[in-house]
Amino acid sequence: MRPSMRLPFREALYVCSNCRSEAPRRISPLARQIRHYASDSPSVLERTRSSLWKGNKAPGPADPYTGESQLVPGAEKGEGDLAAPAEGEELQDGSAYVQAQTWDGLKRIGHTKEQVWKFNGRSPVDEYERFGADVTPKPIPAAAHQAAVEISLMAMLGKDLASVSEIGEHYEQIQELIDGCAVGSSETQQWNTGLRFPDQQTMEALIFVFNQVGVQTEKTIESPETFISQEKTSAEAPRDLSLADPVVKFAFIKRFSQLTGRRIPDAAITSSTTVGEIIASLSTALKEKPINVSKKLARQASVGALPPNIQFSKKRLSKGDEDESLGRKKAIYTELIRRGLIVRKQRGNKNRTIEKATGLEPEY
Amino acid sequence: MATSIVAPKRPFLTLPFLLPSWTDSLALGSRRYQSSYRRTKQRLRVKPDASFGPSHAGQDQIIYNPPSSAPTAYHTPNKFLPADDARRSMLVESLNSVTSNVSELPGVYKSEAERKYHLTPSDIEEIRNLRMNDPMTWSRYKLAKRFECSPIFIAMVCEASPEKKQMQKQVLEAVQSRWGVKRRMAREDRQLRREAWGRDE
Amino acid sequence: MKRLQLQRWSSTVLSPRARTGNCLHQQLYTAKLRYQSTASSIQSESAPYDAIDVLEDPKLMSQVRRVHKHKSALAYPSPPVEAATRSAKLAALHARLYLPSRLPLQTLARTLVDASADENADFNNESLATLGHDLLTYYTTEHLLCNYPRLPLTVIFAAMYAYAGPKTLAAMAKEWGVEHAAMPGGEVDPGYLQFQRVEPGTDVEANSDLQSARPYAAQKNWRKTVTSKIFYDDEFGDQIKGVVSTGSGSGSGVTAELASATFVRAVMGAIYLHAGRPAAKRFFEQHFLSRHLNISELFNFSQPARDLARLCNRENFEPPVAKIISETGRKSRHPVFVVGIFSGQDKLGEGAGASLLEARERAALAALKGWYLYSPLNVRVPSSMEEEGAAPWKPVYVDLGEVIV
Repeated sequence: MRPSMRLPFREALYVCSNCRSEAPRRISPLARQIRHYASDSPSVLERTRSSLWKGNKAPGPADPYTGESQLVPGAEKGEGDLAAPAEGEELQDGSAYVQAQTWDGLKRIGHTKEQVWKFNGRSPVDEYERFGADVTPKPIPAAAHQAAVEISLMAMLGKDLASVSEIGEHYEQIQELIDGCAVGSSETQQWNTGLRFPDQQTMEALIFVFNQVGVQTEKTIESPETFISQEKTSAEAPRDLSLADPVVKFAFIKRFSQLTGRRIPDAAITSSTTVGEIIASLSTALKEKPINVSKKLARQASVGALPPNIQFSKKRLSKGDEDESLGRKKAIYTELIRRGLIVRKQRGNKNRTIEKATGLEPEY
Repeated sequence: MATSIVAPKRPFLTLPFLLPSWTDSLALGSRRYQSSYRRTKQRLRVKPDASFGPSHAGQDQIIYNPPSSAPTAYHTPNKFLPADDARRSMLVESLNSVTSNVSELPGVYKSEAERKYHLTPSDIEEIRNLRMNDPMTWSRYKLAKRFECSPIFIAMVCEASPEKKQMQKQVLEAVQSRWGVKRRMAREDRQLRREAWGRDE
Repeated sequence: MKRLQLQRWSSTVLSPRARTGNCLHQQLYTAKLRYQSTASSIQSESAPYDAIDVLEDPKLMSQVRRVHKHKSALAYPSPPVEAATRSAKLAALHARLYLPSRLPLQTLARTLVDASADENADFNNESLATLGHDLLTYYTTEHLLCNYPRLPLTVIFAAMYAYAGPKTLAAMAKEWGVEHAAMPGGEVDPGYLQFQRVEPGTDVEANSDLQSARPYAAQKNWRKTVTSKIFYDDEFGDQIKGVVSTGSGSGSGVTAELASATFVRAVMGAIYLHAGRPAAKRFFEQHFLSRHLNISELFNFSQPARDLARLCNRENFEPPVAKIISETGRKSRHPVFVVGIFSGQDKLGEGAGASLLEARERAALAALKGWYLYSPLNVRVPSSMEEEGAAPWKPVYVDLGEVIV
């Protein structure tokens, strides 16, 4: 069915040029019908529309969704009139106008403000770093001990326990001091009393250091002598240290995970109530790293264990490498450069000197 | 129950489902291997064809086995072996009986011309003179007839004059120009075949 | 691709001024970079070392260098000696040929460098090839002469060519799996055969400037006797071509066939130098003598019956007589005659043919081949006397020579 039969000509958004040229001459049968029923009663079109919209407040004959029909004869003419002088003005503006050859520097349209970051590209802020990436992973006993000591210290100082994780890695001297401390195994339920320092000096230094972490508090420690023990302390945290307090548990697991560089499974976290259980949950063997074949082969090649008729390359050999080993690469590149198919890059002085230097030194 | 006794009439081992499962891999496996070996060996035990046997004395044959073939060129004839070669004495014994009937064999040519050696140097000089001075009359064959020798001997003794050669060449060309495609090709093929004899192809 | 600019990499077109940087290169070269794989007493001082990178266009050269992995090696016309130990192809070739372990990879790498790739005689295979060629032709000749003492000279020439000719050697190099480098250069894998290729379109046969000592060698139409070929020509009976000119620069290339042949000869020479004579002999037997050559197919007679008659006359045998041994279908379209040639009671040869004449010719030919292809029993070649504890020498059979009609 031709569009002119189905829709009144004015309502069609697009009519092909053939139909458009024919349309004025022919009166559509629908229109004829409308004319035929021309009376007070609403036309067929009106009735259909009202039935479709289920009510009396049907929109008018104009399409409520789209704008004016493109075929309205007056509009096109008016637009053309408007466009022509605008173009002329632009040209008349004259000397300042330069026609753009590329889109660099042109105003960008067609995006929202939220999308701006997309165009700006990647910034340092966008980079993701996993939690604990700034800490060199420690073995599990050492990490557990350090976490226990630190959290005990924070508990002594009465600070927010979880803020230990802000520290990251300690300086070497402080690390040594922490390693010298111990968490007593007698008081396994209370973290703020379990810590034992080797001497007074250590205690003061550590308390000073950990005071800097998080919010400063002025909590004095009563009877500091009780925290000092001369006996040789083990470098391991007592296994029965309680993690019943969820705050302590959270802080410990966060720090522990940061120090070991390992993710602690949720099941282990929920089921364990002591430090020992956490450690036990981690004792399952880590998934073995896949063997890096290239590294292994390189090691073997350096020792001389590889058979001599095997050539080993860390990278996939390209066509260019084959060309080079056959000796035709120089000819190919000379000809490409000569014909201008490879554009020479402008190089700075730095590169030049480097290349000179490497040119004289044998690579072999 | 009578049926159950009657049923295994066939050898027990040919009905593998009657055996317990563990015997499958052992008994049947080894037996199978043995039987196939015997079968393949049997197939190789073929009687040789009758023609390979000792020749039928006094009877005509058309099948000779092994078929005859040209002797290899690397086999040096007895006569060509140097005197100190060890093969000489060995071959003499084995071939004595075979080559006894050479004189009975027919020759290739009907009659071998008797070589006379009767021409003197003056005769040869005359041949040369005749051929040089009157080549049209005294052709090779006429000279051979007159001096009772072979035309080959005439060709060995003297050569035709250049004019005669040129003339003969023109005659040959005239004759060859009348040849059609078939004859020309046939002649060329004959020439090629002739050359192939020398290469033993 | 034009060959034009590649010639520029050679130093011949450069003015001496452009080569001032060579001092440094020479210094480097003498200091640490290259040492010979096989010691040669003569250090060629006269030939200055030509670096490729001294181009008229250093910018272009530097850019070409940048895309290469082995940048420094680009400066040399052939791969450096140290590269030989790292090449898998070379090690594989060494193992494939079952070369003695005393032959180092470095020498094997040197055998793969043709004189057209590297003019420096200390690094190309020319000297090794010269030695190897002499060894090869000597061993082949003594094998042929001792095993077939009666062979005519033309057949010996043909057999020599079949055993040790350049075409055979090139085929062997191909069978050994030796691939050709596209262009010679320092960055090339030393496992490739390196030579300067001939420019397309050049007539390979034409450029031979004859070095023959033969008087009137330039007269192409003159008949050359076989005997004179022994004296004047090379071991294959061909005219001696001009030596591969090393002085004329790398502009002149060699064909792949010739380069492959040179390589095989150089391998032979290298084995002789490093592993000694027995190893070289073993290599020759395993790789050259093991190739099957049917010498009886090399003959071509025009008049065998006449030759045979002359031979019997010379050897004081009874004159040969052709006799029909058997025949079938004389009156048919395809008759077969079997004719034997007899001298007295002895059969000299036997031939079958479609006509009596053909059968007779073939029989005469078979008889002649029987004469020429005589091979003594328990042959010992002269070079076997070099072995330790060899039995005292018994002279080999020497024949009068071929039949001359």
